[in-house]
Amino acid sequence: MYHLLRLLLFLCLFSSPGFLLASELGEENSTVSIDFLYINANAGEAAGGHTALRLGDTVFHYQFFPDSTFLLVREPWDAFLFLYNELHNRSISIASLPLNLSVATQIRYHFTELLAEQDQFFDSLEQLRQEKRLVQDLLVGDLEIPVNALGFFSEKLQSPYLPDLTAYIEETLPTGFFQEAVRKAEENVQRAAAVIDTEGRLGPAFQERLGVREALRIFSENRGLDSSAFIPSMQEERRLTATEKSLLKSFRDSLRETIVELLCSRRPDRGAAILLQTARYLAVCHSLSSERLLTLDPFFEDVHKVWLSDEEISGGRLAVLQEDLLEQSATRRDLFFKEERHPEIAYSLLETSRARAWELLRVNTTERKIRILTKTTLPTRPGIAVLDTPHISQERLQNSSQLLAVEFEKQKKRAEDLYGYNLINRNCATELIRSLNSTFPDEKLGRDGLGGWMEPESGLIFIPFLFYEQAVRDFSLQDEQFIQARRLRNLETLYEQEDDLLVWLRESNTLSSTLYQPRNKDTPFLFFTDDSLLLRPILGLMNLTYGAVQGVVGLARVPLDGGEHFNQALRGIFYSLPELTFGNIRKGSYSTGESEGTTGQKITTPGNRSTSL
Amino acid sequence: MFSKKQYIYLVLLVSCSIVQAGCSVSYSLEKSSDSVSTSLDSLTSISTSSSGGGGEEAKIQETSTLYEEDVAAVTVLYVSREKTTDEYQRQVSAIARNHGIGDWEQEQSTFLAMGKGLRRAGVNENSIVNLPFFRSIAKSSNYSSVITGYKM
Repeated sequence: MYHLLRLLLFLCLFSSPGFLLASELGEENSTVSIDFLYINANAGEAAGGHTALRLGDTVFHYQFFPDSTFLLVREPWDAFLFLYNELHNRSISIASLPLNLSVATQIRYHFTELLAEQDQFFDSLEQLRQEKRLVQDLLVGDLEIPVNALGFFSEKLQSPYLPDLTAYIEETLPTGFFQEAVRKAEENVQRAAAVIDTEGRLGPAFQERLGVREALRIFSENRGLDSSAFIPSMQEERRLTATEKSLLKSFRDSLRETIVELLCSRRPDRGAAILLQTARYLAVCHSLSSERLLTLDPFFEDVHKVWLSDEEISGGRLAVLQEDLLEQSATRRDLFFKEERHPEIAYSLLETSRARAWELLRVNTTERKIRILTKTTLPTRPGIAVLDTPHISQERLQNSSQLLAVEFEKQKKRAEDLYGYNLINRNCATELIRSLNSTFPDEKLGRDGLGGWMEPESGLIFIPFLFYEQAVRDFSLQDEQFIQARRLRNLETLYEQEDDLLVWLRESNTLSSTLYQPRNKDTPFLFFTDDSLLLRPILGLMNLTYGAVQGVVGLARVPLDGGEHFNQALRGIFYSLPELTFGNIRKGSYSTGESEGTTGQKITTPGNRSTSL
Repeated sequence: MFSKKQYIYLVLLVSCSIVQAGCSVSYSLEKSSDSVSTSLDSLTSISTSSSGGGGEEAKIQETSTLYEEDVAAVTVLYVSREKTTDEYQRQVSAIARNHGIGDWEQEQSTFLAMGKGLRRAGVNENSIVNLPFFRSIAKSSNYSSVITGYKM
């Protein structure tokens, strides 16, 4: 882990976001580069290799998602490198394209816009799905409607802190503000419901206005936070210091101002924002009173969950990760108390990291499930708002339901057309070049800007490694670099330290290798073939035979494991086939606890790049 | 020409070659409840990619920078796709949510980024006030931030 941290620090130092800095300084004529990446194949998720574009410290690439969508993804370079090169043990080739800063900036902006457009599409599809469900619920007489962030508040508990906040709001805003706001909110809900008469649909406004009404009710009913609203204090966390308490009071006051502003705001979705900031305000009050840091529980209903295996619970990996997440949480706590420019971002990062650390600390032999927050997000726990009267006639709801069903199917079809995957016409290589090309109004301007041009439909560029080779040729890419896969990198170190033959004999197979531990995900195999081209067909034949033997064993075990072993063996045979013809896909992969001490220092990545983006 | 065995062998090899053209499956798991990874690996990158004080400190600034880029991008789309004021505000809210910001109206960087987006969308400075959302904030200090961002 220590070596890994050193590596990441190295990357941070040498690949700082010069791209943005130069842009901010207005160095329009300076030259920067964008990088084409080729990530070679491995078993499982990426048998065909992968391509990506690195712009500064950010990587843009297209990924296939399990719901069959194929989407543009933006990731930090260090996270990308760690996943693909370290954990998934894949080598990365990098070729740089020097560009005028204004062109490079234009490309980055364009990719960001593509991402925004994609997100908007799926947000509106999700909105449509929610509206469809809402109308169906109303049709069957269900008047309980979910409102984001309402779930943090208790139905019964009174808050000892809310009256002060309410008094402050009443002092700050014009007299009678609350009474008037409540009256308007109720009116607005009814107006939003009436929209169905003219437009046939409720749209997002109905739930949003209900959110405003519920937020105001929290104040009038003096509802406190539910006891389950918090991520509780952890034993490993220290008490709040005097300085921290003072800083937390300032943050509480800034939240108070935010709530006042939101109450006067005209943004349509302010209801959920008022509820969230009020819940945070109360969480801070509870922290100050208990002298222990408490934050809201950010886990949401359909958050990704994993169930840990015995091996993961009893091995050292869990302990390593628990320690890492606690450390991350402590670091973020310190940073939050230091942050002056973006306190809300720092607070959200803290909320997320405390939740992750707490979630992992709960794991034991009986509690195996963990919920995973893959990114920082605002706490949104929905609560139920009950409609006092249905407001809308059954006939209108019926019509609306039909309308929404048709529209939903239409948009789903559009999603398939716009964001579906196709092995040849729409894959990671074709879409990357298509997106790059669409930065420019036409081919001529593109050639002027990029110094070359590639067509997504030309020849075999849908195959990632051919795409990369053609990009190197067509764009006259420079400074080609190669980041070896983790096992190969560590193997080189061993060759330097020990006898070559001994290392080869020991490390060429999965039974005696010290650099690799067999994992289910990698399928059963005996020999690594990524570092032995000439022997590959022979070793491949042995892998194939081994896979077949495992298949027979798997067949016998079908009644016990439901065919899992057999299935893995078949996959193992499949990945051995290319080895018979000098090809290689499978390289083995790694997992968490194995990161210790195996990160080589031979990475040639960012230091020798002429101008780092 | 080929025996049955040879034919099966060839089909398998061709299948392998075709599969080799496939792309990467998501590791990020953000859009799906089902995933490729079903173990602690899912958490590894979260803890490791930003471990250490330096990485975490940079993360706040990185988040802020990406937030501004995203708000600028959505502003370009607001102009070019002729979105309504409510739609635009919902989109800014969605971006803010993704970056851990609950009240984007309190973030000056939101309005600076909007200004940058307007310039990128080719809106004339004098015409900014004609766009419905910006007309609604024309009398507030946020509008000055939009103009400052526009001129950056």
